[in-house]
Amino acid sequence: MLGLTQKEGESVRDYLSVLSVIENGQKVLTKTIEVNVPLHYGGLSFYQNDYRPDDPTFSGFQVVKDPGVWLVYLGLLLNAAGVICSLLIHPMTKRKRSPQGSGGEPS
Amino acid sequence: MNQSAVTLTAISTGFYLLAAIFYGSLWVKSSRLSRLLSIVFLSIGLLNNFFQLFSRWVEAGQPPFKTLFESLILLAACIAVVYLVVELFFKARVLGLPAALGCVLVMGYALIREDKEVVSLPPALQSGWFVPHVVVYFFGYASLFIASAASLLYLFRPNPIRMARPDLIADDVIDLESLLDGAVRFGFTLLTVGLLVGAAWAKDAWGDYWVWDPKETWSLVSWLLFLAYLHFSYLGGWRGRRLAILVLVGFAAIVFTYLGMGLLPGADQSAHVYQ
Repeated sequence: MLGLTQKEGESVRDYLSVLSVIENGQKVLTKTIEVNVPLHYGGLSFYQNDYRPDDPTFSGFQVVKDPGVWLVYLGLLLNAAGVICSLLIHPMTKRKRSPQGSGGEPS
Repeated sequence: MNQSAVTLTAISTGFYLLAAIFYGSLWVKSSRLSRLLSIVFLSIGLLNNFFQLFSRWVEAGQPPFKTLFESLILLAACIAVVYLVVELFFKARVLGLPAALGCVLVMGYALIREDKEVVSLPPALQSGWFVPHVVVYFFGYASLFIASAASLLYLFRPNPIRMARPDLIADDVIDLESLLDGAVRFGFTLLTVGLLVGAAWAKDAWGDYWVWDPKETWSLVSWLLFLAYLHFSYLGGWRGRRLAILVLVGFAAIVFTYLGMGLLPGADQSAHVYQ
């Protein structure tokens, strides 16, 4: 099911889809998702990936099972930290250690 | 027509232009007064520029980085901030003219743009990742603009700049080569962080890290060019002219990444492209 929020004369602010998780005939969870707000349940992630502005009954989803995703996020973080250390912090400390280097103090 | 946006943009352009004139005058004859006036005008322009961003943020009730007009306002502020850091820490006033001219050009282009109206953010951009992703990238662009200005100057004046009197433009000897190297390393770091933040955001919002949309592809191209700079300077022993030219090529790729996406097929499907 798809909902739209729109003020008069404005472009559409948001496309929303209401998802329900049904386990053994029991509805255990209902959540409204949108493009930046996926639903995570039982190791699965449900992303609203597609919508049709002219057809409010259509919603496209991507379902992802990615148990190692935290490892990738850790990798992204390490990558960023590594670049900052090697390109910014390391050259600064190197310059401090060798004051007789190329630059020298201004007189 | 958004009249206050036009007025504020015109004021910023005016002060940046005054700053450019006084920074330019330092190339001919430097005095205490003209050095003071140049940085004062640039700072007033920057303060007004900050006010533009702030008031628009309040007016729109959302981060004002959606339209090309809004992104130009942000870019001018980033260039001015990066240059002020360069002036305060490295006294490299020789870069004041290109930096202020860059601000004039960017702000002047914003002034003649037609898309000054506030538009609501599309769903794809309504996320906490949006502001860090954009701001980190734009500071990266600004640093690499400063780096390419230094490269261009270096191609004409490869020796460390000491004018007839040391205080003519620089307070001390300005080594453009090390200055541009620092600006590239800083800018490349920001491009990398912006790229990683973008990948994390894409995974968080869509379930994919990377979807090969034209902007992503071209940001990868410009990232690789600056990676080549680092590679050739650390491991290949490249110095001077060749590196300066490589910086200019890399910056051209960035300009295309920023402004050229509308020319490519598939751009209208992208969340990245300024309409």
